[in-house]
Amino acid sequence: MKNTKLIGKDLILTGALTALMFIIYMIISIVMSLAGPVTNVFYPPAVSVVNGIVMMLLLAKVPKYGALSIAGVIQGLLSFLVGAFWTVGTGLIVGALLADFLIIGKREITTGKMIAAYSVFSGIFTFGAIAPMNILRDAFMQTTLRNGLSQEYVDGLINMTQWPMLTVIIIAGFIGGLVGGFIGLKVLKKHFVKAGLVQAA
Amino acid sequence: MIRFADFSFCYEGMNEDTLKNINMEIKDGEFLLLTGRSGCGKSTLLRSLNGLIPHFYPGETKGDLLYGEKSLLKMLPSEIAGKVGTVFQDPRSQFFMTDTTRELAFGCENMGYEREEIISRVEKAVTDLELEQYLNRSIFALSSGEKQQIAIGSVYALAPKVYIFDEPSANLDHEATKRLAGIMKKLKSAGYTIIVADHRFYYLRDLIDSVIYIENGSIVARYTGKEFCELDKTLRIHKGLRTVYPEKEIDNKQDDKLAVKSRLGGHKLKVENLSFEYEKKQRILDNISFEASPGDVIGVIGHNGAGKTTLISVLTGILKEKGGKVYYGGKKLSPANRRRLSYLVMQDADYQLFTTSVEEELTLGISDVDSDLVSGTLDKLALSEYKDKHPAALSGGQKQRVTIGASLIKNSEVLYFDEPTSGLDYDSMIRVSELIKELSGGGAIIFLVSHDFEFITHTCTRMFDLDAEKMLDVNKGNLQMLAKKYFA
Amino acid sequence: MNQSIREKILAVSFHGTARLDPRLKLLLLIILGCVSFFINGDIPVLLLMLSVTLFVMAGSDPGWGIKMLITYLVISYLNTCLRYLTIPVLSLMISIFGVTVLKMIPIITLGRWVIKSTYMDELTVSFERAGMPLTVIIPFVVMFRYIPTLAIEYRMIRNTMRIRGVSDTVLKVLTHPFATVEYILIPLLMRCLKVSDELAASGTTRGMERENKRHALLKIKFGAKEYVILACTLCLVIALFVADRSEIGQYILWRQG
Repeated sequence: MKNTKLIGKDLILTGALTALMFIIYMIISIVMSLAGPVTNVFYPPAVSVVNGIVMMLLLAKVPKYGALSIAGVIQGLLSFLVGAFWTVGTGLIVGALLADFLIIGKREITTGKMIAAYSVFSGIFTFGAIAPMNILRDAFMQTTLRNGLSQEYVDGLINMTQWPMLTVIIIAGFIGGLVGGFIGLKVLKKHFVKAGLVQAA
Repeated sequence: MIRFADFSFCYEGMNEDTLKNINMEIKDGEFLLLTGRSGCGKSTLLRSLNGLIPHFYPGETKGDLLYGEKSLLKMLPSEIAGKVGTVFQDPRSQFFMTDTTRELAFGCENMGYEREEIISRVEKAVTDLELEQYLNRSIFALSSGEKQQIAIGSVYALAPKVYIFDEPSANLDHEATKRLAGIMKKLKSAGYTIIVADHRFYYLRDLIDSVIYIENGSIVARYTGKEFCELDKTLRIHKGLRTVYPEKEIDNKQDDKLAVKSRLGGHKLKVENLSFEYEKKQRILDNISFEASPGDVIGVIGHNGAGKTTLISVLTGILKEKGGKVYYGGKKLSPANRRRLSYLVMQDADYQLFTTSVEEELTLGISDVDSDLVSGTLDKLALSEYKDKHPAALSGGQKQRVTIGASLIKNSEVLYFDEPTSGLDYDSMIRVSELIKELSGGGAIIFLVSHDFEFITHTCTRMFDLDAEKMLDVNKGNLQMLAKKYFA
Repeated sequence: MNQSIREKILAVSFHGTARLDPRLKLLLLIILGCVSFFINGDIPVLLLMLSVTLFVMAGSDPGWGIKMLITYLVISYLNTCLRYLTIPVLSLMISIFGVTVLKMIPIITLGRWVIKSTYMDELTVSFERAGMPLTVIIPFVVMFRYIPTLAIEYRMIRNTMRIRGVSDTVLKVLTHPFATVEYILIPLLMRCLKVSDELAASGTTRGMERENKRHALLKIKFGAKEYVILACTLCLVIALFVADRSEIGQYILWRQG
C-alpha cells in the first residue's frame, strides 16, 4: 500500500530543500551576473546543474506527484519577493507544473522520469529567465541611446538579445537540466543510497 | 490511562521487530522514565504514543495500544494532537514560526481555535510556565534552553493530558536542565501523565514514579522510582545506565594530585591576555591567561553565555582574537597556525563528515597517507568492520569516533571537544572518556566543553572556570564546589 | 498582572502600513513588479521608487526605505556616467546590468519589507483565505524559517573544513570547484534530511496536518483601508504609464553638464 498523497513530512522536506535550492539559485545568479557579460546570460543552466543534486534527492525522498510542482511554485513565489522579473517566477512555476503533470504523473517514478522532468523544468525556467533580455531590449535601447551611446553599441546589444542567441541559451538550459539530473543521481548513489538514507532507485 | 496490549512494531524495510510484545500500563498522573542503551527502542515506544507510528514512520503493528478505551493506532497524529503532547530532543529543530509568541500559538492555530480561545490558551501557558520574559522575541536569538521552554509552552497551550519528552536534556546545559526539571515538577503536580526517555536522568530523581528498562525492544525490568535510585552500582553499570547521583562520583576520585601527575613534557600551550568581542562591542572574553601542558585534559566550565564556545573558536583559529597572544612551544601562533595545530570535535558530528566511507573520511585533507596508521586507528576506535560504510549510516557514537579518528590521522597536538557526551548512553560516554585519556596520555593537550558532571569527574585533570577566569585542578574540593553549582 | 501578559501576547511589533493585510502586501508586490517591468523613463521609474520608499517608511522600517532609495540614486547616477566609458561590449553589458538592477530595486525594497513586517501565522492564514492549499503553505512557511538555519549550518561546515584543511584556501576552491561544492552540499543535505524529519515530527504532533480553518493571533481583515490603498495604487500605476508614454518619460536625469 504505497501512500501517494503528500503528508506533512513530505511537505517539510520539500520546503527545506527548496530553501536550499533557492539560496543556491541566488548565489549563482548573483556571482555569475557580476562575473561578466557572457556568464551572466548563462546562469540558468549553471543553476540547474548544481540544483540537480538537491532536486534528485527531493524526488528520491518524496517520489510523489506534486513534489516538483511545490518546489517550483515556491521558488517562483519567492523570486517575485526578491524582485526578479515576473517571467522568471512564471517560468519556474509553469515549468514545474508542466514537468510534473506531463512526465511524472501519478504512476511509479523512475530515474529516467526524474531526469526528464527536471530537464523540462530547467529548460522552461531558462526560457523564463532569459526572455526579459528580448522583451526588455526596447528599454535598454532607449536608455543607451538617450545616454548618447553610439550606434555600434546598440547593434551589439541587438545581437546579444536576438532569438538565435537566446535559443542557444535555452537549449543550454535543457542540457543543464539533463547534466544536473545525471550528476544528482550519481551523488545520490554515491552518498545517500550507500548510507541507506534513500532506497536504491 | 494508556495500555500497551502485546504491542509490537516493525519499521518498513526492517527484518526484525523494533518493539517486541510490549505489555504495560501507564496510569493517569504517573511520571514514567524509559531508559536503556542507545537503539534499544525507547524512541520507537514514544513514537507509537503520539501517533507518529504508524502514520509518520510506516511499518507493521501487532497487538494494540489503548488510550482510555480507544485505540491510538486508529487515530491520526492530527487527532492525537490535543491529547498527547511531545517535546523532542533538539530544540533547534522544532519551531515553525520566527517569533516566540506565534510559536506558542502555533498548535492552537492548527487546531482551528477561535482567536479568543487561542489568546487565553497562550496566556495560560505563559502564566503557568513563567514564559513572560520570552514573549515577542525572535526565535533565532534564543538559547537552546529557552527554545525548549517555548517548545514546551507551545505543547502546553494545546492542553494535552499526557506529555512525552524524548531525550530532553541532551542539548541543555546544567542551568537549563534545572529549569526543565522545574517545569516537569509543575506538570506533575498539576496531575498530568509524563513519560520521559533519557540517558541522563539525575535531574528527574525526585520526580520519577516508575522506571521501565528496555533492552532490544523488550521490557526487561521495571522499578519504582525509589528502587531505581537505590540501584546497586555494579548492576547499574552492567545495564549501561548513568548515575542518578553524579555528585557521589566525586568520592571515586581517589588521587587528588592527578593533575600534576598526568602532566607530560613537551610543548606547552600558553594563552596571554586573550580578548574577544563581536561587533556589537560586548566583550565576551576579557584578558584570559592560562597555560596548558601535554597530558592535561581541561574541562572548560562557566555559566551559559560565559563564552565557552567563543573561547574554543578563538583557540582553534576559527575566530581571530581581538587582543592577546597564543603561544605553542614558545612560538606565537596566528589563527591559521592554530587551525593547523588543532582539531575540533563538534557536538553534532554531521557537520564534520564529508566523504563516502569511513576510511576515506579519516584521510581527507591529508596529502601523504600512511596506510598502517589508518588501519591502526580504525582498530583503536573499533571501527575496522565499518571502514567501507558511509559515515552517515553510523550511530551517533560511531560518527563521533570517526571524527576523533580524523584528528588522530591529522596528528593534531591540541584537541577540542564540544559537548562530546550529549545524547550518549553510559557505555559510549565511558568509551569517549577512555579515548580522551588515551589521547592525553599520548601527549596531546585536550580541552572539552561539557556540562556533564559525571563525565567531567571521570575524564578531566583540570578545569578552566570562565566565570572566575582561572585554572583549577580537578580535586575533591573543586569538584564539590562545582557540584554545589550544578545540583544545589 | 494577567492583563499585562495578555497585552504582551497581543503586542504588535509593526505599525502603519506594515499592519495592512498580507494579501494586500503580496498583491502590491506583484502589481508593482509587473509595472516596473514595463515602464522605462527615468522620471517614472524614480517616481515608482519614491512611492515604494514612502510606503515602506510609513510601516515600521524607515531606515530600510532610505537606504534603498540612496542605493537607487547612486546606481542610477553611475549607470548614466557609463556613457563616458567607451569599452566595446563591456560597457554595454554593464549598462544592461545597471538597467536590470534599477528595475529590481523597488521590488527588492518592497519584498524584503513584506517578509520582515509580516507575522508568519498571518501569512499562513491569509494564504489559506486566498484559497491556497496547505500543501503549498506549509513548505512556504518552512522555507522562511529554514533559510536563516541554512546560514548557521553553512558556517559550521566551513569551520570544520578550515580546521581539516579541506578547500580552505581560495586556490583549493578554484582548482577543485566540484569537490568543494560536494563537500559543502553533502553535509548540508544530510543535516537537511535530519532537521526536516524532526521538524515534521514536531509539527505533526502539534496538528500541522489539520485541514480546518485557522485563525491568526491578531485580527486580519481585507477591509476598507486595503481597498482604498489598492485603488490608490491602481491610480499610481495608470499615472506612471501615462507619464512614461508622454514627454516626462523622455526626460533624462543627470544630464551631462
